[in-house]
Amino acid sequence: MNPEHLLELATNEVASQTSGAPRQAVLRRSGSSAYYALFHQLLWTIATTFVPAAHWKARVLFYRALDHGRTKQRCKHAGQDPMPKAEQLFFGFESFPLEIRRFCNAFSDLQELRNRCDYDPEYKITKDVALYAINASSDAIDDLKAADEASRTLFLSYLLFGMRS
Amino acid sequence: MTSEKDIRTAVESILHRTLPSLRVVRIEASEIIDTSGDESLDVKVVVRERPSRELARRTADVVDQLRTWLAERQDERFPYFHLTTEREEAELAQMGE
Repeated sequence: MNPEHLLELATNEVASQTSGAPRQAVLRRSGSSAYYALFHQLLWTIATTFVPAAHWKARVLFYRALDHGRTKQRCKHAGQDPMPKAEQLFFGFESFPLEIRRFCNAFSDLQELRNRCDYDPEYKITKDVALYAINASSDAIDDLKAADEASRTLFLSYLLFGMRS
Repeated sequence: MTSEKDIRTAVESILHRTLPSLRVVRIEASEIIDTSGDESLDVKVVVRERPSRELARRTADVVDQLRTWLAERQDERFPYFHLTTEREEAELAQMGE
C-alpha cells in the first residue's frame, strides 16, 4: 500500500463536500487515514530496511511486526530530548536527531487523534483539524525519509525490539 | 510536575521564538489522561487565523522544544499540542448544541 495514496484519499474526502459543513463521518475517517498513512509508511520502511526484496514472506512478517500501543510508547520515549535515562544509557547519546524526534511526536499525536476519531463517540473534529492532520502526517513521512540512515535503522530496531532490562 | 501556568508561559516563549508572526489569542494547558492511559498534557493555542502550510510545519519544532523544556524539569508527560481559531471553537460549540 502506498501511504501517499491514503493521504490523497483523506484530502479528497475533506475537499469533496460541495455545500454545508462536512459530515463528521467524513472528517473522522480523514483524521484516521492521516494516522494510517504514517503507520503504513513506518511499516514499509521497517520491512524494506531489514529484509531484501527477494524474501517477500519475510518482508510481510516484518511489515506486521509493530503494534500500535507499544509503538506509541516507544515513540514517546524516542521523541524526547533528552530521552529518559534508560534509553540514554542504552544508546549512549541523549537524543535522536530532530527528524526522528519530529516523526515520533507526530506519530503519538496522530495516533491519539485516530483513537478519538475511531472510538470516542463524543469527539468532534473540524475540517481544519482534519486538514492539519493530513499535512502533519505528510511532514512526518518526509521527516522519516530525511533522517540519516544509521539513526533511522537504530530507531526502527528500537521500535521492533525495545530494550531488555 | 510543572504547573499549568508555567507551561503556558513556556509555550508563549517558544511560539514567540519559533512562530513570531502567529497572532495568539490565548493559551490553555491542562492535564489529561490520553487513550493509552498515560498522564499527558492538552495544550491548546487559540490564534486569530491558522498559519500557512509552510509556517504550520514549524509546530513540530514547537512540540520538540516544549518536550525538551518539560524533560529538563523531569516532567515526562506528552504534550498534545493543538492550534485552533475562535471560529473553529464556535463551530465546535455549535456542534455540541
